[in-house]
Amino acid sequence: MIVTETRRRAVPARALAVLAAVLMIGAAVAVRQLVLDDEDGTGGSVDGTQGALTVVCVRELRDVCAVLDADVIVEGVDETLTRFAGGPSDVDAWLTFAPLADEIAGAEDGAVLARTPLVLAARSDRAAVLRDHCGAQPTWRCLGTVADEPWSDIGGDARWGDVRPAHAEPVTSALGRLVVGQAVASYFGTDAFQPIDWQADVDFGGWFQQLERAVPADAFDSGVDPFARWIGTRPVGARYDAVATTEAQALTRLATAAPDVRDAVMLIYPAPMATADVVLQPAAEGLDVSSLDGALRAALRDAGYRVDRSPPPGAPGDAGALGDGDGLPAGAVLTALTAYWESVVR
Amino acid sequence: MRRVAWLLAVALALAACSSGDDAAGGGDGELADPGTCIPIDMAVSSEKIALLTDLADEFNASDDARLDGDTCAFVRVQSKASGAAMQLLTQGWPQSEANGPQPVVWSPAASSWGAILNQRLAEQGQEPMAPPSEAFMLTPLVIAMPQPMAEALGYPETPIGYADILALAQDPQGWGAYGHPEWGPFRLGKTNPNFSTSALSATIAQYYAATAKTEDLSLEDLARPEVQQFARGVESSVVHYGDITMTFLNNWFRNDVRGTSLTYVSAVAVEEKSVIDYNKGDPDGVVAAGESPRPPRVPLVAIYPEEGTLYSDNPFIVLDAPWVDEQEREAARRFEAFVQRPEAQERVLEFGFRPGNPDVAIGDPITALWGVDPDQPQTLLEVPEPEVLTRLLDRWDEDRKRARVMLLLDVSGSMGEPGNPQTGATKLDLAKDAVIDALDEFAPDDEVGLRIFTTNLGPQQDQNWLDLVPVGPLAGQREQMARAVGDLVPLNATPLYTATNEAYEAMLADFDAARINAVVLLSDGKNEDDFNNDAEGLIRNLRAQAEGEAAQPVRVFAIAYGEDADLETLRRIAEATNAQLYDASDATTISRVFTAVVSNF
Repeated sequence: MIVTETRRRAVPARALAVLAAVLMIGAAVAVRQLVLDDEDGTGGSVDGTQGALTVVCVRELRDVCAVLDADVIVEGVDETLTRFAGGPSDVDAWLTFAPLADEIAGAEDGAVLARTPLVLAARSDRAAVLRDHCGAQPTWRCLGTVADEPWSDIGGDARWGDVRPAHAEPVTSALGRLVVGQAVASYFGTDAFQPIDWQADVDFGGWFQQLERAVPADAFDSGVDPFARWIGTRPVGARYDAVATTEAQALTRLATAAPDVRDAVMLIYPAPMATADVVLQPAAEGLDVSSLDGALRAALRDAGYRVDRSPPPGAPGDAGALGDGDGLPAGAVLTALTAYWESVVR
Repeated sequence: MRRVAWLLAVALALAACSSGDDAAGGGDGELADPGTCIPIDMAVSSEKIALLTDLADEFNASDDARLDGDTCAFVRVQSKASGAAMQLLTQGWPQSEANGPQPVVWSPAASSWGAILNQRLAEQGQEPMAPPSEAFMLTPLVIAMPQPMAEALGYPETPIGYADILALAQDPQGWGAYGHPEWGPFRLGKTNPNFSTSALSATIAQYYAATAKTEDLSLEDLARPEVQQFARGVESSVVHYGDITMTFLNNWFRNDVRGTSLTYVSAVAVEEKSVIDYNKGDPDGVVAAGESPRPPRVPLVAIYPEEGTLYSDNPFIVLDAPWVDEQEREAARRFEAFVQRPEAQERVLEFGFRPGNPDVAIGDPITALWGVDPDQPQTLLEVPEPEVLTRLLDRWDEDRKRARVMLLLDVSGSMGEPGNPQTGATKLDLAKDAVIDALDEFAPDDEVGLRIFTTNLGPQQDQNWLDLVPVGPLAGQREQMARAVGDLVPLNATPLYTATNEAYEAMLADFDAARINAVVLLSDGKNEDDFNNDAEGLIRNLRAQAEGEAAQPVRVFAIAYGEDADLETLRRIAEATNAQLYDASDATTISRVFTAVVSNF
């Protein structure tokens, strides 16, 4: 296996590339399809041989991809979209989360290999106050209304300062993109919202700004995992009050964490539940990459993902059952939302 | 004009200076031979040099250092002050013979230095060099305060912040307002934020406190008159600045031995780790061979400002520099993974830092026993945007406490001896250049004077010193002073004790409480005055006047210049006035040493 990883770069320079990528995807896939039309259609690499597959992985699935018998490229979402938009690609599949795979038009949908709920890891004392104020399963909508406000206004300790949620930036981070989608779906009460909805809603802009501008800037460092930063800063909670991550990542990391860390953290499953559904998306129609599914499922299970719907070991009692859908908007909406996020935050 | 320009030179100079804290220099010690392995050079702030050197040795001997293709990595660690390394990187890390090899990895004390580097590069039209990076150990900025003083302020029940410190600093009753007039006025110890990470963090926190914000500090905030007033209020209580916090901690500890620690300074902005070291009896964090640490009589406690604080987060930055190739990058990543392992992180804890790996539990020495609280801080301040950071440093230069300084220069005959055999320059030639350069480091409204000393001066040849330029605002006499320095020639013998005592008394007579009052004493020899050979009397006098709640602190910063300087006596003179000795035994280092001295103002 060959694993390469693209280097971190600053987010702002990526914004236009993302938008350009979206526009170019269709054309790129069409060109790629022309190339593949000359192949035998039995799967394998794009040159028609049966050599090792080349798989692009989103950064959040870096460790899972390490088990693959394939050439692996780990990169940010924006880079992958640019790759597919730039003409015939030399990769065979993209291991990513379901809504993002929508962006590869023309290919059959990859099967969902495993799922994991999107959660908020919060310092326990803050989580208790948040639950008192926002309900047992707090919503992102509620969180947005208290973000950047003093904790003392909602019953917390004045020494905690202001409410500071955090999540990864959505430009290069797949997880960041999903979380922003989940938050906005919470605001609108549906995952079927469209850009016209946030353009037409006079209150949305203020709510979204309040939420996103409350996020400490270092959480948005490109290529950096804010959950890892959060949990690596003692006492836990000093850096942010709550940070968005996946159930899989949180439980896996907490399983080996020192007691002073483990005992200080509470997982919140924001309502309504949204999930990061992992798919291995073929890069074009006719490509068969299913030979990798077995290894991926095993690796995903080991990484704390739900392969058979049941909560993984260590999940809290209120972890909840998975719904049928992922609770997230379509990939194109997430891309548009990312551009909107850029305009708000940058 | 001044600081921004001269700081470049200062930082470069300090890059090769050795001392403690974060402003320690580099280039100390020979770099190990990597053999056939690929050298991975790493520049780190000095407080972690011992730790990382140990870890590098372990890594180099391990299988983790083996790379693909029968080759191996060899990590070499050099100490480099964060501010100095930042400046070197903005210039492409020139003069590797003097500054050490161009680093693949840079680990300053805090990420804010990376942000400043990228901003400086952007201003030069260059690409950023410091990508976002992970911390591998942390220590928060705290206000260290003697426990009785902290308790007088309500510690530990009452939260204490910068606003409280400002109020105390501006209260004419001083500690009398808290029932302790015997402690005198509130005195703050704070280093120079252009050099010291703890000072940079403290200055950020101070400006946040002035704005009542915890995030989004802006250029507009810095320009607000009330913010400037707040900052000047805090700075007014500063006893002096300087490049390293160890100066304060060592002086504090010495005063503790004499039972006078409560009247030296009331509080110092330091990293939490330094409080632990101090309370263990190891104020500079370095236990010398044979040294037996003894806990202080009055311990320090760490106050975590209620407004929030910042972490020195020790990022592991693999540089995006043109001299770093992919293989070096990969090898650096291997070492980063190595230092994140629990075994390595246990070592981090031993050194008084908080581990970056959450698998390692916080424990001793991060405990109340050593004056710190593992459950603090509860909230952090946001590191400002890079352009705000650079403006903040400029702003600080305008708001900092002004100085009143007498430059007391030895012009004895020995100053005519060779200082640099390669160029033929005498010691006096080198000193003159250093002084003239350093004049640019003062603000126009700093008051500076020039006094020379040697025997047989004056029309009757019976004077031991001469005031060539009286102490006054530099703006009106800079050129005069430069000319006077330029005209100096080596003369007679060295009346060190008399000259020092009379310079001290002169500065004391015109003491200005609104300024940092100091004598900068440069001498290359031992006392040669038949009429006054009483070193003990001198030290007694200096110490007597420096102690007590009503003391008017005039610091004597002494420079031991050349191989024949009376280093021990000069050290005692400096320490008697709670100042610091600077060692320029190698005369060719005088320029950078003199610059470091002036960082106290």
